[in-house]
Amino acid sequence: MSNHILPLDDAYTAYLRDESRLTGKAQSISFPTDEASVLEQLEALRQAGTPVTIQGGQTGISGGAVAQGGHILNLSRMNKVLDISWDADGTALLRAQPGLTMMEMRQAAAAFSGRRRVFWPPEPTSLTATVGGAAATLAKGILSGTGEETYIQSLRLVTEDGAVRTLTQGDGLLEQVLGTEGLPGVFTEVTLRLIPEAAEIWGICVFFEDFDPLCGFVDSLCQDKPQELAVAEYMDASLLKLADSRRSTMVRLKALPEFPATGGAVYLELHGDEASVMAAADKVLELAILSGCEDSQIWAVSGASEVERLRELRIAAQELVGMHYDGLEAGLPRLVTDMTFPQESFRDTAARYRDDPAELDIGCCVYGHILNNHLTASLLPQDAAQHAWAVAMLRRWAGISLSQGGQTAGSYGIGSLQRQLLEGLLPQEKLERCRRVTQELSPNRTFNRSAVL
Amino acid sequence: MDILVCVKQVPSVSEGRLDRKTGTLLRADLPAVLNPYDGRALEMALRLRDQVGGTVRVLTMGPPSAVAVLREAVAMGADSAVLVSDAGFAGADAMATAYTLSQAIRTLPQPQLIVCGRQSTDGDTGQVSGALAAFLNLPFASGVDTVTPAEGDELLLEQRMGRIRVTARYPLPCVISAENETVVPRIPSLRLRLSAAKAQVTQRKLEDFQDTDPSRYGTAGSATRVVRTYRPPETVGKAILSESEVTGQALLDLILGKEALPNV
Repeated sequence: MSNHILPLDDAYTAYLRDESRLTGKAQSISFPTDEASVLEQLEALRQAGTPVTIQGGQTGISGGAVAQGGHILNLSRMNKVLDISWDADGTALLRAQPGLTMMEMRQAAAAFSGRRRVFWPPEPTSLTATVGGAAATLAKGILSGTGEETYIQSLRLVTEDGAVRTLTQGDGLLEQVLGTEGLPGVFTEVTLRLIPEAAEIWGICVFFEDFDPLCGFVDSLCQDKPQELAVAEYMDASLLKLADSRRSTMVRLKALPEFPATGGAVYLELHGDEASVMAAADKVLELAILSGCEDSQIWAVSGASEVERLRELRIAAQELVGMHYDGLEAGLPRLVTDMTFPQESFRDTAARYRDDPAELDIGCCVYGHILNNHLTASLLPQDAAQHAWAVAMLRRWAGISLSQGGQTAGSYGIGSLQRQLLEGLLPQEKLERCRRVTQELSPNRTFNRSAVL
Repeated sequence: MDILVCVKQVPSVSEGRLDRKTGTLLRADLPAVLNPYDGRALEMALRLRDQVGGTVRVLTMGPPSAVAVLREAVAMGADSAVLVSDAGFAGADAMATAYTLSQAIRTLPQPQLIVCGRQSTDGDTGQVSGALAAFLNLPFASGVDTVTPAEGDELLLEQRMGRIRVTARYPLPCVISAENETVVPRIPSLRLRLSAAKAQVTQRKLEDFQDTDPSRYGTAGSATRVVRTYRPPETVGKAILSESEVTGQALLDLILGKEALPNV
């Protein structure tokens, strides 16, 4: 066995978990630093017939990085930027090892971009998420919009037989492999396409006293959407109250003043040139006032630094929910929805996520993308009994989603958690694709056996 | 009460990189922002105005692009803005900056209170506010944590002086340097931000000043010049003391050099 394959003793127990709060088990772990060491280690593991769980930043909330036996291949030390190249239109191709974090990617892009910054639209909200993990789950952050483009140009894939393949946009296989959560093999390089930031970026946060006027605002915004609207995120009253309660202990939130209202909020970003952004902002102001907001309830910032400050509120959602689960008894995994309801309105979905848990006295924070009605409900059970009721509720919601032709798992991944929780209710197209691609590339199911299938 | 707040545009330090050879901040291409200390000073002034009435005017010395921080300040609620800009002001050190500001302020209706931030995140001297007060021949209070209107033409100020807090009455007009780490500057309303984008900004150049001698301004008027900014070299010898070894006497002996540094 390779001497880089380490027994998983007490020093490495932190690698048995991810943000799903599931805890797994494994016999060994390794930290390859390049493709050659990945190949060497996989060869040794193949000789021993050992299954492998691939790990990046352990920021996933579906348990995809939680091993259930076998070996953990942790790619966090494969974090180099290998190359950055620029097109005449200001687009960048950033080729990196899979363990590069979102924060490191930003820093690398900033170091070379000069005055006109670039960004990666799918960037997940967690800045410690890795490039490889984002590609494996097709993660989507708040800047991803509603389009299907992945902004991944190519990748190198090592399959269970030790073969190395380069997959490129347009070859058909890349699109099949992305989002299959590590089942076909190990990404050893990923090339991302970064696009120029808009010349002018404004962040606007509209706070509401009550749910109804907020829904009215969302309806009017969806009907009369400015072209410059790049981000539209919902944050419910529970999330705002949770943020208020944690304000003094979270660095992210300390820089924000008191919320002018806590019945719910809508966070928007306008991207464009100065004139068009200001015209769009005028429109947003008009819609917010017509929805009953006072001036003091509508925050607005401009410029990248200030927009980052306001984004922190939305980005803090995952961390706030995580803190709740930290206080629960061990073994209770995080319960989060990643469902779509294509036949209903924002109001219907948000109301369901608010009312159903309330009937059972279970806490719940709701946030997420407004424009495609892809909201996230993070359930906050207090104990094992409530956790069980919450699981039942998740399954009922999944049934409703499927009946409307919706997706019951998306960019958070299926992992092992959703596989268990939503058995029989998972998106069939994704399951089929994962089976097909895995059968083609790694038929012995060497990788991430406890996830997805 | 008529309040004037001096603000500065600074590079967004959180995104900055250091030149490895010189240790200086690589400013080119960094977004420019309102100096965070001035943001807190402005918030203090706005709260005072909201409490007692009056106006808040903001003033900045810088290149034409510095108008952006004035618009930011107006978006936060300042009533008017002044840009002090002239090619002859470039390269000014703290003293020349303070003199320039004092000359500009003398061309405006006299404020009752002038508020400055504790320091800037790029220059870091913390000297401009005190020098400004001297040039204007006004009382100066540093480290001001809270401001409360008092009877007559006075303010009750709470100041931080290290671990000591001082409460004192200051006559108006005066200059204060704000130091309240807990103040969170307000985020502008969308309406104010939109109107700030079109706000008129008063300009002041050298020719507007009482003293138009160019040798008093910019590099020529500076008593100091920054030769190099660098990270100090790391200490070669280090003492590592366990909790059980740490006593006041042991630390004192180490600091006074009575004990040799252990080999580590």
